[in-house]
Amino acid sequence: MTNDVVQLRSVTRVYGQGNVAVNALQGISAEINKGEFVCVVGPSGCGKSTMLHLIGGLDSPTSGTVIVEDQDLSTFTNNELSDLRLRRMGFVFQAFNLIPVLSACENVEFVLQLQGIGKNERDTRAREVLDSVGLADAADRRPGELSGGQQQRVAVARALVGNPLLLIADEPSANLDSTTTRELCELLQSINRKHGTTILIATHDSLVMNYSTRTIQLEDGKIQQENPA
Amino acid sequence: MLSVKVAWRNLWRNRRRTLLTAGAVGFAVLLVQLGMSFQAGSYEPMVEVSTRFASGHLQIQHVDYKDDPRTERFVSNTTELRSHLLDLPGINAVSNRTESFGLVNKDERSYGALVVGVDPQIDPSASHFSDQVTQGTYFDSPNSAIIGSALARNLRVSVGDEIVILSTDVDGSVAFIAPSVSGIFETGNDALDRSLVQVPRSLINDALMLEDSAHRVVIMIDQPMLPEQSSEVITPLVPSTASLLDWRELMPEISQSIRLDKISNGIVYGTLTVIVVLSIANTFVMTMFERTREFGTLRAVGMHNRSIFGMFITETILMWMLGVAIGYLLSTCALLPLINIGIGMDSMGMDQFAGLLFLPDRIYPAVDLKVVLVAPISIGVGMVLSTMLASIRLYRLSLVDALRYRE
Ligand SMILES: Nc1ncnc2c1ncn2[C@@H]1O[C@H](COP(=O)(O)OP(=O)(O)OP(=O)(O)O)[C@@H](O)[C@H]1O
Ligand SMILES: [Mg+2]
Repeated sequence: MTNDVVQLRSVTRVYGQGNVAVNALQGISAEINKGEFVCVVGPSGCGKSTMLHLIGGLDSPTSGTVIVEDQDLSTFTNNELSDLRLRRMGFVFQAFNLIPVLSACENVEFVLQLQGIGKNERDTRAREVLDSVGLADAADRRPGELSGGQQQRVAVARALVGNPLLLIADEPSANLDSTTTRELCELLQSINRKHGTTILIATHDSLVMNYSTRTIQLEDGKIQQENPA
Repeated sequence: MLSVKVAWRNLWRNRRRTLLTAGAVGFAVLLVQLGMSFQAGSYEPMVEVSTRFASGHLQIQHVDYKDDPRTERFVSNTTELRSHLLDLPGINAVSNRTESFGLVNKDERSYGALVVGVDPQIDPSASHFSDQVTQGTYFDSPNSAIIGSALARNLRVSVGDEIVILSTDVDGSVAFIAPSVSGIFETGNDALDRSLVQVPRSLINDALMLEDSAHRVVIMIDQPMLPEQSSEVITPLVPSTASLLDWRELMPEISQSIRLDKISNGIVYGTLTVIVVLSIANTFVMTMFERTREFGTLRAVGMHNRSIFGMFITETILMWMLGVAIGYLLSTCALLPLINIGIGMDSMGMDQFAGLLFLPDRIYPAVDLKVVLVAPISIGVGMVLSTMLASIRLYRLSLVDALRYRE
């Protein structure tokens, strides 16, 4: 057992073949420890999203190994990867990606339902988490009736409700203004500190980087440097 | 269950599309059910009418009579046979008939005709002839006859006139009878009106030396559409030299026209179903494109492929149930009044045919389990297949591509 939540070993990812092949990641190795708040930064197209997708088991590397909690993801089946995401990870996307026909509370509950948790506990826990992200009043509204910042907080609540080990967020602030971004970051920071949830964020936003305990700088699919905050 | 809730709400995300699709399902169900119920409703009356002008539902006759009808090929002791038959369950009438080809003469004119001997008290329970007498009466004495209207015209015979019928008896000797015409019938069927004469069976049996024999023991049953059931109970009573035939063997043209009708209607309904299902499949494929990113999100959140597919199928089934409910509602509204009043054949331009094919004047829709289930089930199966077809693309797409998908 190590203290690493995530280990990347010489990971490459090539999109396409032949002349049109894109080397999105060119052999990166890194560790993310339990309780860290890591930002992956770098110019557009440097491979940030690709790296997050590989760690989340949404995509598989062309070569190299992705290890999450000491388990090699290449040995997982699709359903096992789904279960890993369901029980150990939370995702927040740039575009929020909420289920439009469900209320905020139901969106959050959905994850608990997939985990097989009973109705009453689901409802209580979903409302608690929404309360903790400051959305107690908006719990019964649908995504279409919420502002961008509120939607992103619902997405954070959904990612957190299953008490994940690792929260992965790909440009969560891209559609938010600076005030809302700051609020979101403070929320993430408090979760990180209170629950020890490991947080991994890909971002362009220097505002977000300020909250991290470490940044990993990517350029052209390679790690340039790692800066402890 | 949350996923049924999601599925139900997803349906109403695009209200107009859902209503149009459900409406199409409902309308197809209505059309197929209307068509099938009238179709099903037309067969039994058609069989009923045609058997009552001809063969009856079942017949006992000499084994060789059907292929080569000869006077000496008869069934004997028919009065006793009849009373035994009437004791059996599901049998509501038995009438013995003697047949002979003869020459019908009046003055210098003579025409060939089929002479049928019937028991005047009994035969009306198995046939419609007594109702079709348009002039005179249906037998007024043991020495009377009723003849077809065209034959009467050809012979220039009117009610009360005597006719002479020449035929051959069981030994091949010439025999004759001279009944007086008590009635003239008009069935609307040319062949019958032109060449049929009925006389009391006692009269012709005496002349042909047939005693209590008959060529056809005609049996009417409670369930003419299921003759095999009655055949089973009757068979033990059939004499060894005789055989039992049902209307499908006796009037193959009727059972053939029913089969043809079923096939041609089946093709129409099948085509209708395929068209509706294809248009639904098209909608589903478009919907699945729009939902690519949602699919990616659900997978990323940790939902299994099969649960997502289950959700799609649930949506399809809900949409199907909605459509079928609309269809049932519409067809109930349409069929309830028609079950009582029926549709007149004249209103469909079919009255010309009615005489030729023995069609009834009105047909009434018959609703059975097949009518109720065929359209909903075939459309439902089609919709489930369409859902599979439409979602294949999502399962081929990589998760990352699904998440990045822009409409
Ligand atoms: N499905 C794909 N097919 C082909 N090339 C791809 C695909 N996805 C990403 N790429 C390429 O891989 C490289 C890395 O992409 P990635 O999305 O990881 O960058 P990023 O750092 O997240 O960029 P951004 O900041 O714009 O989100 C880019 O050059 C991109 O064009
Ligand atoms: Mg990106």
